Amino acid sequence: MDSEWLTGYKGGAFFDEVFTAGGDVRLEYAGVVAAMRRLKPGDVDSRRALADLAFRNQGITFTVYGDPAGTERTFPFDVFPRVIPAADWRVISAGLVQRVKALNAFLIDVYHEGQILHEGVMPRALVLGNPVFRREVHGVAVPHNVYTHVAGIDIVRGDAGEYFVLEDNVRVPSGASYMLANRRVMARLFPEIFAGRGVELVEHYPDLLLRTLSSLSPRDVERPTVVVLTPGPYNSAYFEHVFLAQQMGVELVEGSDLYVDDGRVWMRTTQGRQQVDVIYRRLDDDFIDPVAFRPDSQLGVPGLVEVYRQGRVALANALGAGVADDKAIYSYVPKMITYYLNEQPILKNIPTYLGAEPEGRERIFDNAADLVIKRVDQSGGYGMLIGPAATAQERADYLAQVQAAPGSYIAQPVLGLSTHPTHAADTGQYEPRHIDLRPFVLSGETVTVVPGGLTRVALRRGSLVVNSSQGGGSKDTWVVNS
Amino acid sequence: MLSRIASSLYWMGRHLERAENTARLLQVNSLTMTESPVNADSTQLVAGSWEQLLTMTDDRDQFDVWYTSAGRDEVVEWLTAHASNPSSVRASLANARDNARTVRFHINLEMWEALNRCYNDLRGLEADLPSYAGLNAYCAAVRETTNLFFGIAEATLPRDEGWYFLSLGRYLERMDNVLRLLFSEYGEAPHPAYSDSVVRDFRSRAFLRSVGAYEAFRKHENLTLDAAAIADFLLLDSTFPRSVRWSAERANEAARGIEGLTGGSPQPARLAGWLAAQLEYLPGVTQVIQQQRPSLMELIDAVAEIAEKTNDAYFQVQGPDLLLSIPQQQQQQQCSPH
Repeated sequence: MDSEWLTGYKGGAFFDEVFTAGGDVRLEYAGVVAAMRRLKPGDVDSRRALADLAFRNQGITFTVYGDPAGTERTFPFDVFPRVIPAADWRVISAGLVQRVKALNAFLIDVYHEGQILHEGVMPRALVLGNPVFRREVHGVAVPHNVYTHVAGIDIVRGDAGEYFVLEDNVRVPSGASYMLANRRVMARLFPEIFAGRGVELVEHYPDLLLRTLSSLSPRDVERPTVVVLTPGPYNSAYFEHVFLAQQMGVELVEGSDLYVDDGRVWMRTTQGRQQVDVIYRRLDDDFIDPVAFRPDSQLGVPGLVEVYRQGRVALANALGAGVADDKAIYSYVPKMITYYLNEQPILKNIPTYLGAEPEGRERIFDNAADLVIKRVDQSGGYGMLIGPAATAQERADYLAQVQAAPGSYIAQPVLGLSTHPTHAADTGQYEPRHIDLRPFVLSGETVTVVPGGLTRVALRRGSLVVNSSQGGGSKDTWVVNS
Repeated sequence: MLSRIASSLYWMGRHLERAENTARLLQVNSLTMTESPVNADSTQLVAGSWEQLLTMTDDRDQFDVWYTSAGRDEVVEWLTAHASNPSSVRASLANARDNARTVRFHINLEMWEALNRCYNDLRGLEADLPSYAGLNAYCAAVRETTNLFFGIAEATLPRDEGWYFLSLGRYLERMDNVLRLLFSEYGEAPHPAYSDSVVRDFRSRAFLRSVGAYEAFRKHENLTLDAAAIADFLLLDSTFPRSVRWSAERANEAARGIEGLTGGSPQPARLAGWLAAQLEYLPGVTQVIQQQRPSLMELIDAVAEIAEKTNDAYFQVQGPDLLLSIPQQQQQQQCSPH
């Protein structure tokens, strides 16, 4: 055939997931590419259009902040799936479990004995002076000693295809619903590609999540009342909150649906009040209780934190967990792994320079043109500078901000994230686009990882930012036994 | 069921019913005015006036804040898509869709998709509203949306609390809308008597069509388009699903269903049952239209009271008072995911 699917594809200077540097299809992709090529010409395009429609009709959308016109957008879905060979996945998944165990051990430690600080393995100020360290929960016992019930650990591949952890998210990581929705759409629209490939299932994620959450119940009852607490329909992840509540068969509540009385948390129902045991909260610590934290919060539940401290309601993730995923703390995670688990880190960290430390600061000012500089307290791709892509003026302006509060910044070398052939809307061709991977790690009595995760893709040509708020899309992600 | 969810379902029923009724009024009025003969004495059209729609929808006061005249373009704009009209078709559908979004898992995916898709399509039709064809297509699409939504509900929703709250909202709104229509026709101002029966019947047909009742009425009462017979049919008929009596009976069923499933207050069912019984055992429609016992306005108030008691009993639960919250949009956005 003269115009086979993907024949004109030209990889770039980066590690390409599908093609080797010599232009051959990698082994793990041979089956998928061959199956795509067996489809009738035009089929891929027409089914891609159907996928878009399916997402829009189902309202699988997110909200873009600061954009008054288009408040809702679908999360662009690319039909070419990302494949992870089972052998790679075994390593990644072991590395994830190890990492989350260490993060959790760190949280237990800093909210109780503070051993790691006494021994000087980590600077005290970095932890105790951190705005997301919550004194309010110091010494509070949490069920199973778990803080990081749902963790989203972002993974990228470097120039040689090696895996790195880009960042840890242990507050309220998003994206699991897109992982599930992508899979459903992919299996429905491309059965020929899917069938017989031996793709590991992901659809049991909500069951695992519900089991994890139920195990936290302070009351010993057969069916504890678990709820998902959402900030509300204007939150960018609202679709996910609805979706997960629905899949778990639990109520999706807003702060105003709950109240505290008699030292317990109740929800208002048409049959009167009902006691709540476990809250999967999808809002930040700051907003969760106007009595304990931000007094102007209208999203939270007054008095909730006191009930939590008394152990009469469980929160997932635990209050204060955010101190473990801070961008500056990140640089210490390998040390945590050695310190708490007495193991060598399985997954690598990206070298990180801290504005809080003199050597780090020096690095940042000397090498800004080669670094990605980020604010430690911002996420979602906001508030960062990509040195090589910025003008001299932009760099100077940004460094002025760093100068004013160096402790709030970190920097990392620009990593040549791996690329994946992705449909480009403007040319209609498949072009290399940078991707990352967010697997979801659940911690209850045990730590489990659903195979794969959410592959996010930077749809803008040359962009390294995969966040949905910055023009990112996603792909179905297959862990394949072959 | 969470009180907030129950309330969302109830309001979804009300908003969709209102959108449908407004669309019917607009569509019929537009066609009627196109064909309407002119009254020789007053040089007024004998049937249809854009102004009258404002009485029927009970928002003349708000309208006057924004407009100085009530012509076709002004009234159409106001009732369909004016940003400051909380009862416009667009606002009703947007409210229903917002409610549907928060209760997406108490309805089902099919219902949500129907509403979401139609809402997006309708926004695209708004640009053509100034043309006759555009208004007609828009109104038809609104009716198809609500019919599709309630049709799917009818066919797929379990008869649980959610269904009953949705139904209760729907039928209370329908009663309110039909009663207001009757009030605009038979209420304060005396019904104008046209000597010309062709003109009179033209007017009556338009009135019946605006509640989707023309064909049903003809089958029921095939001789004349007598004004009293029309009022009787719309108020007291036991078989026509848009009559006030029929809707009161459905509202009563829904309220009883809610009471039975929740063990909650019997007040809403009692009031709806009382309303249905009055309408069933009234000696005739003249008692309402002429003797005013009860008057149309009293019936409108009775419907409002059912709504109020439902709100008190099921949507406002014990526990500390809810803060009267200003829109929380900004905080919801700040509380950002990672």
